[in-house]
Amino acid sequence: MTDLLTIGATATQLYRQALSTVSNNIANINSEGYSRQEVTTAENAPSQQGVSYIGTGARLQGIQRAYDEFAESSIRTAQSSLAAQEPMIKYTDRVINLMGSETGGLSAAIDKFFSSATKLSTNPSEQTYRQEFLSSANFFAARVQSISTDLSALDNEMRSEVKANIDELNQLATSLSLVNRQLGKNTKQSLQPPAILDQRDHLMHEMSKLAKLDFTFDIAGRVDVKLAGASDSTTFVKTNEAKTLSAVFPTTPGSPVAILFDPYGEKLNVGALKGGTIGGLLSFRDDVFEPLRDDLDSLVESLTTSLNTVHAAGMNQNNETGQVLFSLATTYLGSNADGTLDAGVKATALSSSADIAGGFSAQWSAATKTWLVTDSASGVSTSVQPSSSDGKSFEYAGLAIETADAPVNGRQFFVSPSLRASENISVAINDSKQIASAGRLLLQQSVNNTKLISAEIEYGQAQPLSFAASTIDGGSKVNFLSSATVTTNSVEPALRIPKGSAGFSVTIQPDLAESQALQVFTTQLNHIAGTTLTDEFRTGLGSATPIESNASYLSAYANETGTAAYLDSALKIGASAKDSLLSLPIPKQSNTTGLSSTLIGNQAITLNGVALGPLTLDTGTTLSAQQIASWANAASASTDVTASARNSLVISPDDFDTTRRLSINGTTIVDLTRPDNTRALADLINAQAATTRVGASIDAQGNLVLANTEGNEGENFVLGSPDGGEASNFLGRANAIVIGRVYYEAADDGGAIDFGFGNYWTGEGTPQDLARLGLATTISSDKEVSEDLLIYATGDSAKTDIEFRVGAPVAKQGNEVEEALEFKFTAEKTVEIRDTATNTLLATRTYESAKELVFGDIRLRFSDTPSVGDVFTVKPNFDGLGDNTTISALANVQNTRLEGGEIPVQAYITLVNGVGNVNSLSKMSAEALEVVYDDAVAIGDAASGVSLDDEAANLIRFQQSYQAAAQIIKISGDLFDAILSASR
Amino acid sequence: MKISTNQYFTSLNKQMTAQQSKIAETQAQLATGKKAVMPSTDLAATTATLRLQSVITKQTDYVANLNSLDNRMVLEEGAVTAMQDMVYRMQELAIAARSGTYSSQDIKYMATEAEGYLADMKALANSVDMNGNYVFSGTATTTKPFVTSDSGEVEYFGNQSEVSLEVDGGYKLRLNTSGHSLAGNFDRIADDGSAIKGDMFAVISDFVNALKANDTAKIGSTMNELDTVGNHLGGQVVDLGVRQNLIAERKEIAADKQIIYQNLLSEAQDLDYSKAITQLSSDMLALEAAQSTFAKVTQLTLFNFI
Repeated sequence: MTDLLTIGATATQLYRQALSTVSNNIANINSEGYSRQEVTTAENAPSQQGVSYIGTGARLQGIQRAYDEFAESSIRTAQSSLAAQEPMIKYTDRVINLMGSETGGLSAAIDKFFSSATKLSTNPSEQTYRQEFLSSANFFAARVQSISTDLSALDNEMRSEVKANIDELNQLATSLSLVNRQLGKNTKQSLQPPAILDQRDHLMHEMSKLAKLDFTFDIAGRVDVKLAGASDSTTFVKTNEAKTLSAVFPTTPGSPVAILFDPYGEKLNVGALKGGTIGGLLSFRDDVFEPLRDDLDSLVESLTTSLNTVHAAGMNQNNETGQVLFSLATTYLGSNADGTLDAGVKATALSSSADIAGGFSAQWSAATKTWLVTDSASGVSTSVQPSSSDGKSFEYAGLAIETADAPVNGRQFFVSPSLRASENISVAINDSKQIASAGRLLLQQSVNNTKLISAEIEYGQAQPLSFAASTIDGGSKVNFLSSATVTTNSVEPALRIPKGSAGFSVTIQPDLAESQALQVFTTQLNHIAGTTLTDEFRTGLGSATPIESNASYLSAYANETGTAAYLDSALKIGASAKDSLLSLPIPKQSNTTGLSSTLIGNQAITLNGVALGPLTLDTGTTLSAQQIASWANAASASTDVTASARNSLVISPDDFDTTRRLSINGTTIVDLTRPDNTRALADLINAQAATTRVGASIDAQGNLVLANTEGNEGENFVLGSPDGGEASNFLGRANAIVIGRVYYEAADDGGAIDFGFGNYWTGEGTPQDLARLGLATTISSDKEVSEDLLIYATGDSAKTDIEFRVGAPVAKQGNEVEEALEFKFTAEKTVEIRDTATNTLLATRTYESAKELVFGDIRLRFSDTPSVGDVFTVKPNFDGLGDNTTISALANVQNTRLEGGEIPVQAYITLVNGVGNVNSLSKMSAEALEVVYDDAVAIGDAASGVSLDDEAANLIRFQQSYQAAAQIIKISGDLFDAILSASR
Repeated sequence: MKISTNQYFTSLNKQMTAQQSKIAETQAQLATGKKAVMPSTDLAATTATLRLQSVITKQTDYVANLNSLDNRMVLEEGAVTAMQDMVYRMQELAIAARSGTYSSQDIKYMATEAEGYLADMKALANSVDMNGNYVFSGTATTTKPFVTSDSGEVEYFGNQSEVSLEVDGGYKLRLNTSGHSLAGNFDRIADDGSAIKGDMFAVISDFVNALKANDTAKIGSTMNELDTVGNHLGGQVVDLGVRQNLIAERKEIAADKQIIYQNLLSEAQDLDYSKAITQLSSDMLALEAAQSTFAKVTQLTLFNFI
């Protein structure tokens, strides 16, 4: 049933709704995320009247959200990419302004430092210049630290920004999950209220600004969200549920930031977070900022190492060699729980061994009055007693910790090592006298030289001599006792005794069948102890790696003593002791030749400098300790040493083998009837003592002690079984001869017992001879080792066992300065190099005209070939106040290429430029991305934006339609009235 | 394409803001006179500036070194020339003394005069610079180099070190003359006929003693030696002169370099004012145009006509 009134009424209703939709559009023109709504009208189903259909008016078909799904998606993508550039630009700008500033950057500080070095080189004794140099060194260190501190502050700021942005992302994720819940009430997206969908799209926009995300829609329009490219298991918005993400910053410099999914639950590592503000921040930090800081550190390390090396080769005004100029020793920082600096905590390393790689936390307990210290790396907690009664200071892991205020209960802080060279740098000297501006050495030519020639010296540039890997390099550890099996007759030394060790000893004890000897060399091929060498071996030594390449063989000081010794400091060779010396068991030496044999030649062995006679052995006998003692005692009047022999055997009752029998010196002691206990056994032995000349006793521990009877001390005795045929006896020992030891005693208290050789050099007396006496051969010195010494083992066998001790390095007062050296041209092309204090010939050299003369790290150059008899002295450059050698070299580091191949200032500028390149790339990308973004927004806006002109037109359109529809109602009323009045 | 009202306002706004920041940047450039107000605004200019400033600092240091060298040369030249003159005068005395036309009293006066020269020469050899450092003691600048021993010989206590200063990348010039080089080391023949070594003070003392003793033969032999000493000092003066010439040349080169680097620096960091002002005017014009169109265009809305 249709009529005009109904048509008019529904039409007015329709256009009122249309007008309110337009009004709503106008009202929401500034609402963020609002999409324009459109009214669609539809024709009502017509009614049939006869053969015609008559229209029944219009109805509201729906209110649509003007929306372009593809435009929305491209806006989100463009937004992520664009937002990523912003922090990149913002932070690179800041880094550039920080490091590229003319005043605040490092380049001016480097220039100033070198400039003051150059200035000082014009007059090294000028105190104001020295002060200026020191203060510009401090200025440089302070600039480095300040840049590093500012970069750390930037780092902290960046961390806070990352955290804040991740928090925001997490909040948006929660909101989106709530929107999803709302959307869950309808089954189809088309049925969803437009406002909720607007809200959903708006949240997605906001999230895309923070990170690049993957969105997945379901049929009801609900969204799942995960980081772009991440695994599905880390979807952090899943329908109605949202999980959080968090950023974990690494503790070691140079590692990337990790993103964790559900940090309090599953703790999955999400992988890289890309795009958006957070992605931009992380990418700046991981790809630009951390590498920059690493590079800055290497620059600082490389520059200070170069400077320190030069400075250490100089001489300061205190007549000491230069120490390091810049120290990079690890410093320790106190921080609060949130990572900010805690200025109230001071941590100082007590020694260089301070070791807290990962740092620790400390918390004060007022109840126990202790600090609870927890190691960050291991998580292990320990209670540490404070070292002061107020609790303000304590020590842990080699660090002294001090707090500014007395701690209150629960006071907590963290201490961590600063791992950055640029934070640790400091100037190591504080007195301008300590600036080593002069050269370390001075070259003087004798006034008696034939003519005045120009001579130059260079030093400290030589590479340290290297050692073959197979040798025992005592240099890596000193003050220890150790033994090793080494290769004999090798041209590479078996052992190096490093310079500065407080004494050393090397010992061998060869088998009687083997001839072995120890040799001691300097790196100049000066043979200072040992035996005659074969020509072949001697020539081979020249090619050994630790021997200086152009050194000639010298043996003038070999085995010498007193002022004839090398540097007047003799090495001790042989077996020595004070007061008393007990030999090892004498090795078994029997004579079966049928003739008397000489074991040790006449005068081969000396005792306290007195040559001993020959040691002979009758045929059919075995050498006993007693024979050695009487041999040694033959000279005791002049040696002041008395020898006594002893031969005893201690056997634990546990060793007794009750299945076996026993005879001593052929006399049966135990036969088939075995004694029940030790006492019974001792009684059996003692019963035969008169025959065997061996008695038994029981010591405090209950052990059986066999010994020669009185008057027969040191005699050998034989353990056996009564009828032979058995390998061992009741005592649990092998059937064999037992040989004693010799005990030497000095006549005077503290008297020396020094066994030496008649002539070690020629082999009159060998280590083998001492081994016959049960003694080892040692080469030793109790003085500080003044240069590297090389130890060789020579002999018959391919290998030999050595035992060695190397003393700890001697602590030095001030810095060591070497002794004066003399270079004398003794013959055509021959130079002798002597230590002037002891007149020791250290080395000889062949001099080729116009070539350098090299000795150790010293290089001499002459303008003309010196004549025979000319002398040049190299000595410490004491009081050379006007010498600018080292400070000039220091200034010249500015022109020297560092590790990266650039000079210092240039290397720094390159660093800044590197950041600058990232910056300009980002700016260019940002411009390009802005266009893409604007375009996407324009397209999206064309679909869903509100245009006031449009709405005004619609307003008029719908208003006119409404008015027309109202006219329909009026006309229907008029018609009704007309009918009524017609019937009246 | 349809443009929403919001989009329309946003883009107009954006354009005006961009113009404004351009104007602000140009204005800051004009105010500071620098191309790069902050390093980040023009990094290329900034790094070029840093690099050139470093080079200029180095050049300035080299010029300072050249000046130090120059001062030092002047100081040494003064002393050596004065010594040379004294030696010449002593040679004249020697000729006169040997001519036989002077009485022994005259020769005594000559001896006194020559003794005065010996003392003067020693004093010159012991001269100090403005900081009180000895000029001719090598690098032992606080050690008095020439001291007369109890036996009357002048002995040298300085060292033989001669140091140099860098005046250009890697190029060094010698700064000092050690007393050892100054006094020389001559082959001489002792009274007993043996060959010995001796420096100029030994020669002059012998000459003074010969005059005092009026020993004509000795005066004759020392006269020849005085010639050697004179030549030696002459050599020193020539050497100083050569180095002074080198220094003068280097100074010119350094000055030229300074000008070149300063020009480059100015190019790198200084603003081109005319260009910047033109830029500013055109930017301002663009902004004005944008502002006036904004005002007019935003008036246009259908609602005005309803």
